[in-house]
Amino acid sequence: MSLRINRAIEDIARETCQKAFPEEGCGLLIGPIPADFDLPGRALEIDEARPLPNGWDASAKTNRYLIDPKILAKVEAELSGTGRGVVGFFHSHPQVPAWPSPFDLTMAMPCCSYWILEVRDGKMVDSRSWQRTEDGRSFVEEEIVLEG
Amino acid sequence: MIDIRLPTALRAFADKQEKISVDAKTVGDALNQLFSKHDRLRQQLMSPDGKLRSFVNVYVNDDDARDKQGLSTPVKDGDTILIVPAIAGGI
Repeated sequence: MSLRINRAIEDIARETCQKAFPEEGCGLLIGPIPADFDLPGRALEIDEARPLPNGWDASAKTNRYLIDPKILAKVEAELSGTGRGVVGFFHSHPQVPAWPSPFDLTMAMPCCSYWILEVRDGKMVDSRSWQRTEDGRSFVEEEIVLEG
Repeated sequence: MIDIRLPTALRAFADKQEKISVDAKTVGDALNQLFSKHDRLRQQLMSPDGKLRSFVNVYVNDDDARDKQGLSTPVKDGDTILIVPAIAGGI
């Protein structure tokens, strides 16, 4: 189980989350949809990171993020029939380790990668990626393969 | 027929289909037909008490079904039901 990204994608996610600090930054991870997307051992290859505004209410953006479902629907429509799709999401945890919270688990979709970037005092210091189990009870950490 | 469009995250539970057509009068009826063909989707989208899970948004064309009559919202031939996850989280 892995999330394969290149340096340019890491740069986009890192800069988005550092710029959002002390609020949470977020965005979409796009790439080919693997045939075994729903299986625990699947490998994702991300070819695009698309930063999006944090749509959560202004009073709680330091500890919550929300991706506008209408924007997500528009991107899904744009990718329809291409074999590519929104296969994951990234967001930051300001001043908190890159481990998923209970709220992350409550809201998580199956199959997708949830890449969490830990940002301390405006700088990314760690990142980890997770896949929710099909039964929705937990996350399993996946390897991040950084290319280039 | 009513087209139901699935997000990338859920297509794996519906034989990788992006769009599934059903014949239905309401959103709930359409979803039940979808689930009768793809039971794993039911587990992902519905809570054990038969309600849509909190992270699931259902649109009829461009309108949020929650702003209309929820699962009882009527649908007609040519409508599109869009299932879109609410992607959220945090600390």
